[in-house]
Amino acid sequence: MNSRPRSDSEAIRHTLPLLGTAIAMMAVPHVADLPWDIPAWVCLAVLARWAIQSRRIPAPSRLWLLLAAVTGVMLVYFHFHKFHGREAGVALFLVGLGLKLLESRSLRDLYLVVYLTLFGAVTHYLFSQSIAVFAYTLCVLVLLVACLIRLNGGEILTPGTRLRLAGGLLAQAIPVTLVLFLFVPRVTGPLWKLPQDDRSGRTGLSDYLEPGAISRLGATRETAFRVDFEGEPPPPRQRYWRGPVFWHFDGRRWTIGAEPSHNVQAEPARGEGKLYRYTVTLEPLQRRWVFPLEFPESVPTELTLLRDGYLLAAEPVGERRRFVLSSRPGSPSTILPTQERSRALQLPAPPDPRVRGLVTGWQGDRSSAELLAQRILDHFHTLPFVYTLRPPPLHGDPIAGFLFETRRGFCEHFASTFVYLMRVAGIPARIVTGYQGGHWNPVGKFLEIEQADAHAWAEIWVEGRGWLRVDPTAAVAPERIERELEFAGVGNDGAVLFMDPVARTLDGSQWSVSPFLRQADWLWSAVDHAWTRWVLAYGPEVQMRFLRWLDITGWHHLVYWLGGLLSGLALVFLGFFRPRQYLPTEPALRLYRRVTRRLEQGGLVRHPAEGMRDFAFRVAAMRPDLAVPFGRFTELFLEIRYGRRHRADALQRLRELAKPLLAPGFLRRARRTADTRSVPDAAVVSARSMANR
Amino acid sequence: MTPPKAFRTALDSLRRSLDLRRFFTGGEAVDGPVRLTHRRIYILPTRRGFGLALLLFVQFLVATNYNNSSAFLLTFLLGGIAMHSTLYAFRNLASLEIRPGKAISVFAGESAGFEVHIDNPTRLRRMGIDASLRGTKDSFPLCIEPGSSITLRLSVETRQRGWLPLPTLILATTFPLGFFRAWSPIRLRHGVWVYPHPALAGDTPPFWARHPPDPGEEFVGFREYRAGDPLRHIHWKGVAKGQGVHVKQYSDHDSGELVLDWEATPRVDLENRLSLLCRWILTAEQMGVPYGLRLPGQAIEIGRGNTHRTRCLEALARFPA
Repeated sequence: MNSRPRSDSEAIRHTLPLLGTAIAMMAVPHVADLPWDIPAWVCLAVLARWAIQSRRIPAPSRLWLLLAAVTGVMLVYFHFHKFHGREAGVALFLVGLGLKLLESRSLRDLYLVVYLTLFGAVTHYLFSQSIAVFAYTLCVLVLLVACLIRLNGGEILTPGTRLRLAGGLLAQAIPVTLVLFLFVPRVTGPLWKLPQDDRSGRTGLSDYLEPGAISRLGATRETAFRVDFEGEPPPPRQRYWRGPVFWHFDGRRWTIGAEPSHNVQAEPARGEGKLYRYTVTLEPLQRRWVFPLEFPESVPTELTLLRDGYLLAAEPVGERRRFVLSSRPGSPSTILPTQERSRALQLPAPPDPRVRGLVTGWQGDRSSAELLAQRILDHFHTLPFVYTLRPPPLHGDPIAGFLFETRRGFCEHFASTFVYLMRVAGIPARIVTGYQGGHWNPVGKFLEIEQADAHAWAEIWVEGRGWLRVDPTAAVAPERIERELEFAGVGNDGAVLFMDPVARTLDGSQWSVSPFLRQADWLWSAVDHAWTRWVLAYGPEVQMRFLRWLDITGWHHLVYWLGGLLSGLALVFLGFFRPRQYLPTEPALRLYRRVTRRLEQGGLVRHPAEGMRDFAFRVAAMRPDLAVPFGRFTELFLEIRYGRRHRADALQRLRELAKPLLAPGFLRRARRTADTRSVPDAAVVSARSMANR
Repeated sequence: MTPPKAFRTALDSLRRSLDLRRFFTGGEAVDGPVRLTHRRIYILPTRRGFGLALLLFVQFLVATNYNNSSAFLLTFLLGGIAMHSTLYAFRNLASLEIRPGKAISVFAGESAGFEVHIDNPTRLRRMGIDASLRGTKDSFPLCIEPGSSITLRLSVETRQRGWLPLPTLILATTFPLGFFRAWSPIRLRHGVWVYPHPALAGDTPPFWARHPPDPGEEFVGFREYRAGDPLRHIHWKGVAKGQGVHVKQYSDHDSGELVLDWEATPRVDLENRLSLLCRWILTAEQMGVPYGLRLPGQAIEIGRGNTHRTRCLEALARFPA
């Protein structure tokens, strides 16, 4: 009768297809991060294992296994020339998983393979933590759980039922998961550092500006950051997200100029206007910049606020981070130190005579800085300047070239030329880069800023008013904006918007894509943002805040909370999980079972061989108070069940008779009234003699 | 000074609940039916469960090191699933009802057969349950459909005569994931008498040395078959002709006095003498000769038939009690 080993091998044989599928599903998406032949190697191992099982090829000897191991390891070395580091480590791990699968024979081996596959699913997160990846790994998890169910006696279930059971297990585990996720203490900082995992640069703002060098601006739809506002978001014309400020011009290229350390501002100045509180969720741009709304007022301690009005993180942001900020639109500073004034007037060489002439012409009437700025903007507007994302390259002096020859460019050209002209006129000016606009996601109620929203504008110093923002790109006449594919149009406030193929405007009135796609896009973005906001951002600091909010200050508090919540959940589930009574389908019999089940709780159990009427007599003897209700119930039941004819409404009557017997607490109540009535002993005796008949 | 009674009972029940042996032996034997509840179902992680714990620990370290929330979430989810699987394992055994069925007495050296019924009075299908007897390696994979019951036929090898209680029955399951094993040891008050191993067939009772049974005895007539009549007296030809079962009757002079006496056995060791008596009983029963049994301190009067045989054999089995 002992057939354990055989049934084991049978279980293994039946589990392999599902397990193989799970392993392949786990391995294949690694092609995004690893050379394609590593996942292919794993899939090959899955196929080979399956072929061995179905006896198409013989089980591998030790020599073959050794050969496979050497091949796999060499493959890893060939690609990475090392075995440590994120990529090489994961590749080596996958190779090992394939080997283990190849040589697995016993149930124990199979469990190890399942565990390794689970770990393999986790390695995906080292490369991407998006919700899509997580959802995908959940699918792998469900498959693996279904495998385990098959191995532990679920052979009578259909594959579909097993999957459903696995999914149900996962769903029911969610509350416990949440409790653990929230309360299990997190430790700050890495426990070990791997030799620097390479962080390849990504698109985004650069730390210099070189109009004319780029002949094509790639407008990508990649998200740069997202912003949640407390209350109303600012109107579109105030949505300028401030990044690095460029002071120094060497004739071709604009740079920040001074060391950022010289640039630190100890205390944020109080601006004026409405205060906006918001949270920036920054994508991993691998830069130190954080982009606040103009102008930041309160700043978290992990960020440095610079005098130029933008923020620096301590080190390049390599993962999604969230920063709580507040800003006011008004300009904060009203004093320009001499050193800054000279930096804001710096010119690489005497300007081109044509440029000088142009500026002198405008300056003739000794107008103010604002008036001069207006002149320049008018110049851009009236002369045939064209806004385009594909400007011709500029050789020689980029300013004169743009002003007098090509007259085609995008924000960098307009902003740098504007600043240059102001400086020639002796007015301090600088270029500000960052992002402008962003679009409102009505599903998630947040503002999403994409790389395509990158922008450059100018600031001029106006005595008594401070730095004043001027956006020269907005001055281009609308009819001269090249309606390329990448371009959407002009915003309500006249600002030119950098838009990508899926064109949008701020108020969402001019959509070129179908409403369905737009909705789907919003929804996806909202889900992704919520994932980041609620799950990924939950780190040691947020946890600390959460625990403090719950007034958890010590370890013992935490243990109480964890223990209490987990055992509470267990109790709740245990209540739900009590197997429910099997009831026959026939209604009268069902009712009888329910009533007798209730009597059993009161200690009145019908023996298997005892007739129903005998049982009723015995109940009457033991509990005279129940004699009448249960006796009448039994008689009617017997009539319905075994009698030749019964009235049509008999079942209804049976239900009515059952009702008091099934009422909660009836047994106790009945006994109490019986006790107070003090049934004479004779009645009991006679009931007993009835039962004995 | 003796402690008050209530205190002593409390102490006793405490001692009982602290006695870990009940995890395996199942506590005191009960008549059944036994309903499996949380008091009777125990659960502990298996080796695979400890393997999972190791995996979770490693995943936790990785998640901490990279401050990776997704990894934390998956680790906790896996932990949650494992914790939840304990409820499934418990539920797979809970509310099952176990009651003893038939048991067949045997001679020492044969295997005793026990029947145990397991009822599933719930709507839940039970699967992946292993039934085994404590101390044996055999296990029976079970699946019990809702509202149905199954009958286990268990066999136990016997070595010596006497009362053989049903060993502790263990119902265990690793369903659904194998990380935990839930089990319930059940000791039913159920058992059989194991009769002495009969001595070799050649050892005839001493009686026949003096009065060999003579098949040529005077035939008297037929009568209807009654339970307990020796098979060799059945009129088989008549049965074959479809005349019903009749028994040939002989004039049984001198057949009432066969008493199988302890004193008549050779003076060897106790078990061998009982074995010999056992063989005599079987032979006498087979021959259809009424017989009595005399043991030191007890005697069973002359009789014949299955009940009588069982009574005599039982007396041997429980000797000297």
